[in-house]
Amino acid sequence: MLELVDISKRFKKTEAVKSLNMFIEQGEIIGLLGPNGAGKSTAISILSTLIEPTQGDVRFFKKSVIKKPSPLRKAIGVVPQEIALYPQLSAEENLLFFGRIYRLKGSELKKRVNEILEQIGLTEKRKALVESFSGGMKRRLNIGVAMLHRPQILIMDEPTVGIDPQSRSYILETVKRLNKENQMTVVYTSHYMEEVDYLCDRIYIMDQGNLIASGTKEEIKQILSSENTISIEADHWNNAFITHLKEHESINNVHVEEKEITLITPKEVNLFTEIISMTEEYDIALRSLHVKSPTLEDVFLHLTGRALRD
Amino acid sequence: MSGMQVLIQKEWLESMRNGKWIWLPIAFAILAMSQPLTMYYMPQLLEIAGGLPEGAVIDIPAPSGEEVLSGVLSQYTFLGTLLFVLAAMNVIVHERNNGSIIFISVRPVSALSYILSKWISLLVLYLISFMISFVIAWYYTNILFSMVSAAKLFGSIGIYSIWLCFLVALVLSVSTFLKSNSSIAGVSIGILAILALASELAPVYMKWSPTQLQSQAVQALQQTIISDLWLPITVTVLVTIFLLCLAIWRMKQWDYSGH
Ligand SMILES: Nc1ncnc2c1ncn2[C@@H]1O[C@H](COP(=O)(O)OP(=O)(O)O)[C@@H](O)[C@H]1O
Ligand SMILES: [Mg+2]
Repeated sequence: MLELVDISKRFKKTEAVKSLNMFIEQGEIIGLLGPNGAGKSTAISILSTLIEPTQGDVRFFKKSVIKKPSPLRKAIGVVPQEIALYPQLSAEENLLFFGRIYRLKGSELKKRVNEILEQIGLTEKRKALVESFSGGMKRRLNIGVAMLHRPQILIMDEPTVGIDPQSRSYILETVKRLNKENQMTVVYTSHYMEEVDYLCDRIYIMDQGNLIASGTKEEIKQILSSENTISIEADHWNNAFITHLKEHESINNVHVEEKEITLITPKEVNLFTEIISMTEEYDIALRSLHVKSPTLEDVFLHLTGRALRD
Repeated sequence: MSGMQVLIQKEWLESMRNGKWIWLPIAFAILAMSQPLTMYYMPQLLEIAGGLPEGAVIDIPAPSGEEVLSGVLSQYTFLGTLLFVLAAMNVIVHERNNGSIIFISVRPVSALSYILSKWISLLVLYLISFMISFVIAWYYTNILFSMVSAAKLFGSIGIYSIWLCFLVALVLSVSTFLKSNSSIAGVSIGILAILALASELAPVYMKWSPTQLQSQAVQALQQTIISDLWLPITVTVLVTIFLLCLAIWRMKQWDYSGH
């Protein structure tokens, strides 16, 4: 339905997106995963015709929309990364204003605004000024605005950044429901792999402007089918232990966090006993050690050698 | 153009909420009223301030009503312009910086209706603040000094209003190029200062300049026939249209990637 064909975008020196191919079919939830600066927002802005690519084409039902964006623009709702609302107007006034911009009128407009307020769970707060809202409420209204004109495709740029867990799961549920009940197609950008894992049918993973993996969740996790992820938990580490792990010939990847170290190792070698004796040798109070099934985070770690949220 | 009414409505609703529709008219009214009042009470004020030798007679000739109102106009030129620039500097930038422009620009809103709606809503705010305060000043002047005819007053208001059209277009146009409030205010005031300075230093060469309208608004209070009026009016109208076109052109160049 909607395609990016060999898209590149250069801003003066930075190449934000490098020959990206992407397709979106009716009714899918597509995830675009990658750390900050990966080029997600740029890719999404090109997809929604807000910026022109340096190279490549954007096609909607097989027709290029770079020069003639209006059919696509009517079909999409864009939820920008920033809160794009008027803080001095109430929730309802914001919706009414954007609804009128979208050429809705009279009783139809009122009805639609009521529906949206219901969907985003802000009916009670309709008269309150947006400046008094919590981050999560603003985010929800931001999404509501993008849905006013009943878009076929909802394009969301990191809609859960910086909000409380309740609002976050509320948003995730809403997206899921919109997709199920209204057959809305969704493009969902995030640097939280759990969200993408939970919501999306197909996933594109970007890093530094490059597409590093794409496919269904299962296909992507297959990338790690020949490897195991081992997680070691302890209260603290010492450098000698970490160095030893990093220099170990059967360990492909070592990722250190405060209380957890994640290793990626080939399936055929069993390092369990070796790691346990190493923790004794380096005097580390081991709390747990287990083999995990791979997550998208591990795939990213495997492909780039870095964690998503470094 | 159908979107314009919606945009203007929203501008006004916002200006009501953030108090621009209150503080700007009040500030202008205080500015305008203070001129006739201080001029009237000047002798008493000097006396209270003291420092005059015993027996000295303060002999300030009472100014005419026209002179007092001319003083009011020059207050607008300095403080009034400054207040307006402060009120207007963020009207475009805040929408670009908070991203709401993205919602607007993916919809069928043309740059033309966007810029015109900003211009009209600011101009109406400015004109109303200016006119109400000027009429108040006129009222006090008539009571405290000599009578100034309504015809002269409205002639002066008319000429000054054309200048304001230019001023609003200038600030808007500058706002489409810059992204911080302070640089917008700085550049706008800088351009106005250069124009004013040029008129001061080389009046012969600046007969066409929009700033000319300010002194002609003063002339209009004092005499019925004003010299060389049509040249600056024509130029000002053309420059205003040019500035609005420039703003529209510039808006089409914006990129919306959020950087
Ligand atoms: N308008 C712009 N001008 C210059 N550089 C930009 C612009 N937009 C994005 N970039 C750069 O392109 C890269 C990708 O940015 P972005 O698409 O915002 O990534 P993400 O959304 O994944 O965090 C970054 O290095 C960013 O600094
Ligand atoms: Mg981004």
